[in-house]
Amino acid sequence: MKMNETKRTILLADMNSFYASVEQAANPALKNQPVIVCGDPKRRHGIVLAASYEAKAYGVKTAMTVGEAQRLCPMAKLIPPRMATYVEVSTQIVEIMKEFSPLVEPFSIDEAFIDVTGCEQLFGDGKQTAQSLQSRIDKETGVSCSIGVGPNKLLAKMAAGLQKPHGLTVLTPQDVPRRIWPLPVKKLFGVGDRMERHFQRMAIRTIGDLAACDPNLLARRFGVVGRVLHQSAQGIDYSPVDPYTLDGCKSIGHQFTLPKDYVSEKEIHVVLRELAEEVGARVRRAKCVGRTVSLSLKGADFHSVHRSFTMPDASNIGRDIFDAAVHLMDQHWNQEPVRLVGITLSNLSSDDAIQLDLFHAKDKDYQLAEAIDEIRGRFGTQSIFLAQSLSEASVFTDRVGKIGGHLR
Amino acid sequence: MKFRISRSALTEAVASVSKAVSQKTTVPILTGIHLSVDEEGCWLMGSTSDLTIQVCIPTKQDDKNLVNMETMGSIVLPGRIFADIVRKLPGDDVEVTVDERWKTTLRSKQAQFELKGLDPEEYPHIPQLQEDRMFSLPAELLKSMIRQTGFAVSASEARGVLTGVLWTLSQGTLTFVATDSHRLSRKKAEVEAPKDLSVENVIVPGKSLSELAKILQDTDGWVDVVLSDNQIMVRADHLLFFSRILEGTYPDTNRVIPQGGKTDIVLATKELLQSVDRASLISRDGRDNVIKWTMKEEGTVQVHSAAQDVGSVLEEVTAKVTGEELSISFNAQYMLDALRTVDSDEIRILLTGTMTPFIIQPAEREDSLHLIVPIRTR
Repeated sequence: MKMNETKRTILLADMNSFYASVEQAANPALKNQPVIVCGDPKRRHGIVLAASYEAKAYGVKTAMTVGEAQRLCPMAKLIPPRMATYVEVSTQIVEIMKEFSPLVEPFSIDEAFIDVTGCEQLFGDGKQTAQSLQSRIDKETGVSCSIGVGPNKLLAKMAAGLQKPHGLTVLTPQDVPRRIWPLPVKKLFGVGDRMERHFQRMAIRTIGDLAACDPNLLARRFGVVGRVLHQSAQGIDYSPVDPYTLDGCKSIGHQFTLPKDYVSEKEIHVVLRELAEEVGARVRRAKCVGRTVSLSLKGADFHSVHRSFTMPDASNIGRDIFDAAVHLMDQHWNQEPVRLVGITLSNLSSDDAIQLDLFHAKDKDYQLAEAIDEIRGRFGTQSIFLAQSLSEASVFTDRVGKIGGHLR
Repeated sequence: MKFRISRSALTEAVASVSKAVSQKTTVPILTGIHLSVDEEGCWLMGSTSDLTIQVCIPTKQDDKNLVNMETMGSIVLPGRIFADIVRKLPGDDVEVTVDERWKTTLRSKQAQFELKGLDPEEYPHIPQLQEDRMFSLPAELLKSMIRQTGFAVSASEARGVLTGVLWTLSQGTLTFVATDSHRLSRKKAEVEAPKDLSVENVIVPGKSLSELAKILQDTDGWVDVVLSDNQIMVRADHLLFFSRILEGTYPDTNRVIPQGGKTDIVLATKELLQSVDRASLISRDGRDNVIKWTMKEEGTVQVHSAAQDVGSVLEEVTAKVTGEELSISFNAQYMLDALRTVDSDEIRILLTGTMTPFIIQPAEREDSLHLIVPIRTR
């Protein structure tokens, strides 16, 4: 255990109310104003994506409906999301961090770890490094962030959560009993709602309770996860900061809440085809092919189907993905109205060698897909599409130009 | 039922039918071996949902008495344990006695086993086929046709008819075709058949054929093939082999086999095989086992393969090249499988383009053909 011997210094930079901060930075008139970045309140996916701290003070929370947020904070400025800009700023922040150390691991769009072990000569200790990083991000992007400093990723992440916004918290292993143990167990990284309920039933309410629990008992009940969480509760975490974590992506997929419940098979097929084409295009952009297609269908009563199928040959062609999805739907759909559909392609590998087929002109499929990608790259996604996307069931026009289902 | 039988003959027969004894217990009686004895000899039979194999140990062979029958009869014995017992019995002979409650006693020298048998009436009857669609060929030829095509069937059950070998017969020519849609092998041969007999779309499971080839290993002489709507029977001396025929329509392969070519190369089979074998040392760990060939007008084929984490290999093989210069990437394993079954010193390869299938044939003959679909590379 080499990790155990060397003392590491790890920082987690957590952008505060990221989307809202970016908007406030871009438009000085929004500074110190309650700002809510949200979807279209008239549509079903009209939920709060981010709220500035001024709005949060009124009780506005991420993921609540826009209507609810407006009731709590009527004077808040509602702003439609600009995902492309947020991605850009996020990349810019990662680039700034890389000037401190090459070991930067983007964790989500608004969080990134950095391992600065051995950089003391250049930037001082963890706290000093965090201060200069914080001020550079603020100066260059206008976004404020909270930074946690710790001997591992776990404590860095926990530290960043202790003080928001614009916080700077250093945690050492000695701080764990005093500052981490009194927190409710839900605050521990890796404990979700479900795990929390399990723990509640075992009379584990705080992280300290968990730390005091018999690790063998946890291992028996939860397997490896139990052991890992017990270690986490002690503030122990050996996982390295991995800059390549996002490179080898394991699956690519999309899901979509429909504007109304879809009842007929034909309507659902239209949406599935469009999603399949979208997934195919993204997998092609990642220069991959995949073999396993997963289909999610969520009904109005929140009854959901989630099944997958492995195709004989890997593909990134929309038609192939669609065929697999239809195959799954034929087998598992219970004829109930559908409100959410999702398609994911996994089991990915590089597309640099594709075995062609004797009976299907696969080469032509690939050439066609490439041509369409190129046309769309030059003239926009809406320049060429399937004729069925003109039908009423289509969600194509609605999804064009969105990132993660939100406006660019 | 009572008889005495040569242990070595019995061991061999049990091994043959064991290939058709069910391992699963969905139909319990099919996990047994059916045994019967009469004046002709001792008959053993195994049966699965796909295969039925019956072998006969004749009473007399080459002036040697193999079976001494005292009373006729039949019995079903548990397959696996019976096979194991027979193999390990100490004497040269085995005496088999079955009482009226199917209790079976096996005696050999100092060892005596008692096995619980099952009522032979419960065992499915051997299929009776009309013999109007029948042809004959040497066992040797049948084995070589299986060997030259069987490897190309699809191993994935989901591929349906492509897990089988297509048999067609017209004007006395029997053709085998197998493909997994990435490569294809075809072999033709003259057989002894009625002039007007024509056979189409008979698809025999690849697994059945590989069992058949194993069972026929020591058989020379001729075999008869009898076809029915859903079964195929192969009859050799002291042997009956039945297999299920796959349902469905085999795709039209004549349509996808290219007729002419852009580039034609002729090379020495052995030299080529060795070079592909070497190149695959680098490529074999990769997903598709990709190697790349470049045909050069000056009369060489450049063989190249590279794997990111391993390294690369480059060599040239002398060849007679006519037509355009061309490069093509493909799965080396497919080429090795094909070249290993080619029984000709020189082969001809016909290429039609970088993204289209190419053909491998013996240089001087047209009775066998292998086709490989290339890999698209960036």
